[in-house]
Amino acid sequence: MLLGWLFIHPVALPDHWRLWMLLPLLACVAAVYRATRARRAAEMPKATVVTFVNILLGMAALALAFYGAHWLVLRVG
Amino acid sequence: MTKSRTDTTASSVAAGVLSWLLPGAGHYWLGHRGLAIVCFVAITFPYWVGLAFGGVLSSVNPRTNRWLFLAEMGVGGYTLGSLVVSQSVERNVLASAGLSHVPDAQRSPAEYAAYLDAATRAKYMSYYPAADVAQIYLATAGLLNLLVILDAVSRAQTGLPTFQRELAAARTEAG
Repeated sequence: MLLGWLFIHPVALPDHWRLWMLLPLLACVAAVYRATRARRAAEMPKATVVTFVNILLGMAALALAFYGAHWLVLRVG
Repeated sequence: MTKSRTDTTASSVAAGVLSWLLPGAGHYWLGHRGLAIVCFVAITFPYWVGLAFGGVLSSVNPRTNRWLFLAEMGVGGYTLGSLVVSQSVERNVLASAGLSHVPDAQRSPAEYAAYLDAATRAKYMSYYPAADVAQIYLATAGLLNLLVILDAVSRAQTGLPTFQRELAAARTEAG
């Protein structure tokens, strides 16, 4: 009953949560990506953490680059 | 030889279909229990979190959001069940709005507004920012499960994940 209510009536998401919701999704992406490359589950934890950090740093670098480009366009334009 | 190939094909299809119905089920059936649990958790979590933030009416609906629905179909078992619930909720909204079908937003904007109003009043609709997060979570879960399905098929055929199979083939060619 509670589960039905939960998925039929959407849960509200506070504004400041939006960015933090990236972290669990990245963890899931890293875990699945590594699961499709590992022979056994025991190989996964370290590789998953490394992939998670790589994706996070890559996305942060992209965000900084776009922020810099945006700042430049506003400054020059 | 022919029998072996038939067996491999049958187990590949079975692993793929099981993974499509329930993330990780194909791996579990092939004996990769640990990987099965990882796949199950890493796909089930974003799918149901996305559905909780988006609501079943707007998140699993081929008429109002067909591209998202297509991505979600990567997790067939969850999406087909959610679709049944979504259609039931949609019938309730249509009845309360006095409509027979979901109106086209471009051709009948007034009727579409009435449909949205009825869905919003019944608290079935999700809006920014929850709707954005929901769509990203659901689409990612569906597309990630496609990777899991391909991996299960690869393991059923050779016992190796796709990447390891490529490495093995490269080693054979080099050697």
